[in-house]
Amino acid sequence: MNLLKKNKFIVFLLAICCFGYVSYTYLMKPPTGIQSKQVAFTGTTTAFITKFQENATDWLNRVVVLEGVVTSKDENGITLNNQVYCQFSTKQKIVVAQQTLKIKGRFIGYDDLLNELKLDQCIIQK
Amino acid sequence: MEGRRILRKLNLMKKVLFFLFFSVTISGVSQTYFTRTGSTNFKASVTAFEPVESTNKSTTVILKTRTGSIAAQLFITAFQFRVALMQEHFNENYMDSNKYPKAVFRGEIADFNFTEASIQKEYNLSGTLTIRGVKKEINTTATVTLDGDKIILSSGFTVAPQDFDIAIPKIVRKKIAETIHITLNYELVEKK
Repeated sequence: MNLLKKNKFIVFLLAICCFGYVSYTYLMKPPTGIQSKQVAFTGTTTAFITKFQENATDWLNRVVVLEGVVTSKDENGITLNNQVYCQFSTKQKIVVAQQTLKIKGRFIGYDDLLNELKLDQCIIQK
Repeated sequence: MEGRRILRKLNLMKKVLFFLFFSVTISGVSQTYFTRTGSTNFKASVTAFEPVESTNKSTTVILKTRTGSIAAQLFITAFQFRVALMQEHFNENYMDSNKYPKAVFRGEIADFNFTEASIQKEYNLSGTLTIRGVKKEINTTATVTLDGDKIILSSGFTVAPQDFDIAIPKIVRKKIAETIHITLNYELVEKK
């Protein structure tokens, strides 16, 4: 007890440091990836489009798993059924040709310039 | 004699037809270049404070090479920040991304001449930028570089938060720059 009293200042300083560290890590936390987010929709691209047309704003920033046929691809992503563009986080060489894929990604919106939906942070699931 | 004349006429017609056909096919070639993954960056950092900057790597851009008209569109939620809290404030407090999910630019590259853009050339770029439903005229320069079958378009300009009715609370006003630098870097490929 005596020792604690003597070192009151040091204990106080340590407490401040701890508090500072905890609040700093909380404030500076990087954005959560899609892995830890709940999947809001699973199904085909066509089914998702009907859902999206019912309520457009509801799906913004939600994680979805979409299934469709690969209609085109580039080094940044894949287009499913000519309806949904799925962008990967990093450039990669994709070796798929005309096959069905299941892709998990974050829905970011409807692109009216190209008339397609857009996902980012995509991961190929199957 | 008569037969020869007719033959010559036919030959000429053939040439004209060939020329017509050829020129039609040339002008019929797709003149649109586009990207879905253009990168748009903004910097509103003040020295000595946490950098306020972010890049959007999902910008859609369409360039009509014959007229030089350009349209670009990005989703506000696709701006990636280093800090989650900053991203949240950006979306919810400043940009209101649920209500205004997009930022759109429509404009023109003045005197754009595709064939002339041999390696690298600077052009005047002007148009309207719409953020949060508020329009603002932008006048700047853009560098257009031809790299194989790609067109690389890079440009930059500055805006202010109040241009788009974005109110910055007093408590953070010192941490966010008064002028925001926006830089664009788009790699366009031919649309087939």
